[in-house]
Amino acid sequence: MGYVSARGGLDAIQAAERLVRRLRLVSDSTWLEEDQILDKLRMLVDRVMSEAGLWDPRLAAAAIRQSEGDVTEAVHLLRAYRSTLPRFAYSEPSDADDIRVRRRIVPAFQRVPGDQLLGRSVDYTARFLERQSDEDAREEAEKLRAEHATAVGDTAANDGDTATNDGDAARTPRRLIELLREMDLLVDRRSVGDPEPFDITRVPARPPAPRSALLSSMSRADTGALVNQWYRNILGPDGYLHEVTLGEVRHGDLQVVVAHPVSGEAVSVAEVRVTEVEAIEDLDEIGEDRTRFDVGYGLCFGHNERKAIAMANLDIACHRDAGRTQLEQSLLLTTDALDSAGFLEHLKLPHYVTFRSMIERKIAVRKARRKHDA
Amino acid sequence: MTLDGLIDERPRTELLDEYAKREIRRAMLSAVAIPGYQVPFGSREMPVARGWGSGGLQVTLATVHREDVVKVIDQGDDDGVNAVNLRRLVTSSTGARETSVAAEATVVQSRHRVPEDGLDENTVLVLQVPVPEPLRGVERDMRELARMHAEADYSRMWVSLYEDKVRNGVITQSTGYPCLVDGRYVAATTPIPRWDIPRLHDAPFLTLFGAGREKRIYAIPPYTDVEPLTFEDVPFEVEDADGACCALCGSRESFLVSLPGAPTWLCSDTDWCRRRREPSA
Amino acid sequence: MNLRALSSHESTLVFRAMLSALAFPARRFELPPRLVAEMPAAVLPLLALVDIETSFHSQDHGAEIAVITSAPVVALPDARFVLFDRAPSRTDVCGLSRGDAHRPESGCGVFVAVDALPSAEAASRASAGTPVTLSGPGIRGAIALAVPDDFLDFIAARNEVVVAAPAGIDCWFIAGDGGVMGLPRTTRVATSTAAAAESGR
Repeated sequence: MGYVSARGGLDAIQAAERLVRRLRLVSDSTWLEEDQILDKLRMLVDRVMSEAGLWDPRLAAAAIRQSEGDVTEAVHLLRAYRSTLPRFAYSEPSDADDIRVRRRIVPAFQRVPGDQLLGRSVDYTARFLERQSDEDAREEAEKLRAEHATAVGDTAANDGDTATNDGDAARTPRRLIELLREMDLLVDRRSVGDPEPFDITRVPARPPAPRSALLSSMSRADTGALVNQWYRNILGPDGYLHEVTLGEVRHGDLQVVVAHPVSGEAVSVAEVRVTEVEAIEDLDEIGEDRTRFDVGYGLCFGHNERKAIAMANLDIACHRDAGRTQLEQSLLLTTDALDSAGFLEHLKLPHYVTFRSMIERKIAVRKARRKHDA
Repeated sequence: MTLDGLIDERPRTELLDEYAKREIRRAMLSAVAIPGYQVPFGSREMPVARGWGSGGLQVTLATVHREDVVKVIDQGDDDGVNAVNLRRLVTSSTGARETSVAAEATVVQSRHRVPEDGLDENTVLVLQVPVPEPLRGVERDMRELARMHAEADYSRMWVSLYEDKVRNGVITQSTGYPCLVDGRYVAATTPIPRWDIPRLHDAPFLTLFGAGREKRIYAIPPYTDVEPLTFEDVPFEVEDADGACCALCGSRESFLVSLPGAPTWLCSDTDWCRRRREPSA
Repeated sequence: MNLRALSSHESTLVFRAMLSALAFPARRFELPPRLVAEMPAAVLPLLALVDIETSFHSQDHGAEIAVITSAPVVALPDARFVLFDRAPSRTDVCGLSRGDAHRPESGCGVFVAVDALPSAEAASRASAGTPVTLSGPGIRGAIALAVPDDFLDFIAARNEVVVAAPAGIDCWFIAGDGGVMGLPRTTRVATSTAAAAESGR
């Protein structure tokens, strides 16, 4: 005798699926295309790719549309998709010095070689909520398009983000920490040799873990979780870190290179966009080199400065903590969007077996107390 | 040739790639060889969320082939929405047949219950694990937890149980009672009721535990000692129903859950209850 | 006999035999007959279990298995899985990776090709070899088997290696006819004749 049961459960799920699908697809408003999401919601696309640990803007846009704008849900769709893909190659290490910057600032110094490049950022734009009508906005867009085409001439030179058209050298400026190194102001913690990086998608990291495990965990952590970890260490009860001075904040393009399977030569298979931060930390504890600085590093997919800054500060804080507290555990294990949200929301699952057992224990405690008092 | 062309564009029914399955299988073999020890594995993201059975699902998907017969339950109920969702994922991606009768199943995936009967040497029981760490209530630091397990230093657990008994008159652990497996590792039995614990001891079937979120797999092999942690003069107690019986089948021999109000008691194992009412079916 | 990659279904069938063999030590389970007809049974576990992310060592077919599975071939002490085409020596066994209390899962998985699996019926016959008694997880009470003479050193060495539980090695014996028998580190193998006579029932 096979499967015999009331079909209430399956019917309920299927009804819910039909409802969600209908309300998602059917509406009177204009159809939302992937291109519109890519074009107009780039920060959301970047954030989803960063937290999914998967670079594919078009897939991220599809996930955002399917999740109806729920970031964590979109991240889940991307990661589950990734689980079905076989890994067919390992990339060569990319040198972060090869990042072609679209934006680059160095708060630690007023002037730096390679210049401060404000680039595409709203940092110094006043936060006024615009109430322009669609018609006026479209008109303005057409006007700006025409003006820009005239100003630049050959539109092939327009890559959108940079406010300047300087040559290649300006796009890969020297790092501040190289200058600090020349001034002998930096502790040298560079790795010797070429250690294999820790792969968090294959081996679950637990403290004590290598720095690469911490960095990759933070690189795909939930943005809000990292910002919160940072802030609670400034103002909250934890207090494990000090505010850094930022050495570099960069947003730019990076090639991903693999060895060609036949010729063995290096071949670029993708160009990704990353945000990179180097944070200068003042060493002021007993046992540290008071005459020098140290550096924290942050890197993530897409344009996500608050995440990369938090990451860099938490990286150096964790190094200085040297296992004294549970900071490393918090960073490695409580910042993943899917682990945290999934476990939180699992509370919605039926728990009546446990609850019945808990009630039984309460009755048992009362019985024991009555017996004791008698 | 493009990268897209390299990836098979047919509709995907497989939820895990072949390498993921191999890794899970290697972890399962280690788990069986080291009863009760939490084996780390590269847990993949599944179509179900973390905390919703992603680990149990990975273990099941690495185990099941098209000739298997699969039963999936949640709280003992085949018809619970989460069980239904997981079961259809398993059968659609593996081609296995489904059943609600435990004795017919070769693989049973369950959240928080051991089926009342029907499990034998040909069954693999896969339990979904929310929290694989039995010592989390007495220690938060993971480095210390690793040391406690490595050195079999469970003293803090014993102290905590003792304090519980002294303070409350009974040990108040409800479900997920900590047990010593094969005399070596203390393991979290997942939130199965105390009712089910004795049936894990010296059982004819293999039990696998999948914790997807925390990325651990562990196992209790067949015919293995499973001792709930307690004291010589404090016998282990299963849930007492104070004489209640199932309103549908009259059973007192199964784990009962209550509906609030009257209260009405019902068997949590819905298929066991159904078969009791329709023995010819 | 030509080796080839196993399909997803075939890998699953082989894995299930390995899992059952480990869960129920000292019992015979069957590898898929169609595969056994196609290639040496002893290579099937490696073909089913290893890949680019795990290492192995094999006395036979090592290069072929490496190409098929992309798994790297390494030296004996570094291997996660090892295939022996005859009874491993004491030196072989003592050199295998055992893991430790913090990482017992890195203990070696050992596959040994044998002519025939020991059987419980043969255990009482002196000609079949030295009687041993096996007990522990997966075994109801105890099982008596006869160990052929060329495996006595192996059993003694294996017993030494698994004494420091939870570290240890896990073994599978694979016969040419496709029978497989498991011996996890948790199984106690006692070679005293008195114990064997006792548990012969």
